Amino acid sequence: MDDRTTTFEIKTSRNGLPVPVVKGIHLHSVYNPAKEAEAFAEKYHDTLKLNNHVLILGLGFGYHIDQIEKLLSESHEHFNILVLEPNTKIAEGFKTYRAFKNSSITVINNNDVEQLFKSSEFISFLRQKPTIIKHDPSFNIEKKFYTSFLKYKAPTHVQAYVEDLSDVLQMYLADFNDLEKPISEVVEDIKLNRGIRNRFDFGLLAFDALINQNKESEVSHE
Amino acid sequence: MSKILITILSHDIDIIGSSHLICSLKEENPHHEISVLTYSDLLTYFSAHAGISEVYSIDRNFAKGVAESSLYSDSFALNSFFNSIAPCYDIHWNKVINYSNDTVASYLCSMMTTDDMTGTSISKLGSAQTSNVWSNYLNFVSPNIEEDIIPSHLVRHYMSSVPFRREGKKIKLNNEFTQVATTNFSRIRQSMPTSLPTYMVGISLSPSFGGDSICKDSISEVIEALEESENFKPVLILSGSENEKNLVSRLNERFGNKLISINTDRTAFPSVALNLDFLVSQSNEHLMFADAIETRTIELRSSTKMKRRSSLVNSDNFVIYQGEELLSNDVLVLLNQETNSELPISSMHSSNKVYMTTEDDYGFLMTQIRGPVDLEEELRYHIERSYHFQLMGFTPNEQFITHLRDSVDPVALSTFITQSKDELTNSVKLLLATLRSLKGAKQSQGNLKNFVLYLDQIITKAKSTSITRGAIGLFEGRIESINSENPEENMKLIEKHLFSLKSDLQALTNLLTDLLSVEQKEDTTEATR
Repeated sequence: MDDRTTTFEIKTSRNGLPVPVVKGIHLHSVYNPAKEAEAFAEKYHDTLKLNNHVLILGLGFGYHIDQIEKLLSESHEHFNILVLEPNTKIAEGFKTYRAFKNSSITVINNNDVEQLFKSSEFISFLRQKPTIIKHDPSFNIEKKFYTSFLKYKAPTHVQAYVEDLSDVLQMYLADFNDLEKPISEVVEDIKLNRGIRNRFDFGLLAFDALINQNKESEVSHE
Repeated sequence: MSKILITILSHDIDIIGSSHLICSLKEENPHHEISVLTYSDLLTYFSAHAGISEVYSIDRNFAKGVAESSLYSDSFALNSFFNSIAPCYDIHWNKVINYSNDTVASYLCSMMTTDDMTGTSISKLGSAQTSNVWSNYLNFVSPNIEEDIIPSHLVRHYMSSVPFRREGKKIKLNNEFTQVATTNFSRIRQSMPTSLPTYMVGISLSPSFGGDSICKDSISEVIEALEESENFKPVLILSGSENEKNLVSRLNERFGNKLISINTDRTAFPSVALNLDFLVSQSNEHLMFADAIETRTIELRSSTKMKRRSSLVNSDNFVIYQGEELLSNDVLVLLNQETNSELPISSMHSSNKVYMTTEDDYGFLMTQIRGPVDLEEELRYHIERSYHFQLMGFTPNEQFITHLRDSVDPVALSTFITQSKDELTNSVKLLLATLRSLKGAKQSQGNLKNFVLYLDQIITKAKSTSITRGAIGLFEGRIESINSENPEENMKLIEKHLFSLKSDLQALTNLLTDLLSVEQKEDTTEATR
């Protein structure tokens, strides 16, 4: 969705809290957003006891996130909440009206899925296997973005990500004629056709051996 | 000063065991600057090592996790891997030692710039390249043998051209912990109602590296006997797990809450072990640390793992393999024997096999001192060990040969020699057939396939149980190390190595013949006529 053409307004709930409205859809209860959020978070009570990493799809004005934070702090000394919100108007509106005080909560305002998956911080967070919580009103408004996020698969061909590699690796791989293939096939090419030409070939073969290392070979030899 | 990099990309046993080689290198030259390359998840095992200047690490879990998931681009895994090894390949090393001898380490060692590559690396043709005969042994012989015929610590020392040093600092001792432990143990000793020498016997409740739990009944009986004596005190050693804590609670319940138990981590345990006279333990970190600081050990092993493989390096330690009986009686017999004490024992006999670690001219070995003897197994171990050391350039141990000839039941020895000779004949026949097929291959390209088939057959024998497996493993290593791209030159080198194998097998023939008594030799000669 293009933020520039999206209608965005802020209304006040019956109990006096700001509620964002996007394309006529209220992202929180117009009566009592906090109470609604409490009921929303409660559904995840048991899951949050076990996992201190949470990815929330949809910022809204953060009432649901406040409640999730509350539940997490009951069970964990340390926790991390990452909120994914592609809509700039919502993110900016939130900053103006509310904003989080807890540094354990990070909001990512980005509507480019490819770009998101290029961030090493984001990858590190995902590798913690966070609980994914969908804020339905936000999700439905940005369905296309969130669906492509959830279905994302990284490009496998080296050529597609070569620019994201370090300078040293880019220089090394420049020596290969064909990078329109996965790294495992580049390794096969070294082994079967190209041969070992420089020490980075050994490095890549070591990388491949590590990735394919099976668990049996790591166990103790007793 | 030499900059040395040691790659240790294997497991806990190897890492703790590497403290001996690092110490020996440091003793050889205190100015050696020793760095280690390992995996991030193994870093914690190095916390007690002395003598390491720098530890580089690869986050294998990140690299593998990212590479295995379709969500993440391989660029993260590649960047992480190459960034973590960059500090290593940027340095010009005086020596790189492939300690763990695994595939990843072998490729990485080949990537480093070094004056001296020690251990297995990979050639530009992609084959395993060993730096010397010991490296060849580590890569092509040791992995095929379930027992430590030549213990890995010795192989790695010889491979690195550094003598094994008993002296020197292997494990870091925390001064504060050591002071507290020494004070507390002194108090315990002083409180014991005896004028006799006092003995603190540590009992490790931690599981073995293989995950086996300690035999509770055996331990309980040992504790009972020690508690009832005036000059022994059992000290339960824990490493913090709930299972261990529960076991301590149960034991304390039984012994009226009188037991001493110490919950230690890797940093504190060496200070505790320093104050123990003996440690009774399974094969685990406690055992290896105690051995490294020369506290005497009694290792308990489950009978299902009867391999004569040891993580110990010092003499006068014991290993008990559980047979049909509990291990307690054997532990008490050993404590009595070593301290001239009279702890209550139920029998002098045992159905458990008990070994002692000792040394001969060749170095460390395990010799059986109690329990039922499997003569064939024992003969095979000692004779194969003697043969392997000969293969590595040691002179035959005449004393050992005379001892076997004079003290072993002649029938059993003769049966063993006959069986070994059969195995030897089998290998020699295959070798001669390979040499003949090589001759054919030299004459015509069409015979090449036949030669390769024979070569494969002989190399397969390195993985068999034949007494010739050591010699054939070394042969395989020599063949793998051939790096010429010229087929004619390759054939010449293979022929040369086949003749080396012939000479290695001849050494086995000589050894087996030497083991025969004069009468048996005459009988054999007569029969040959």
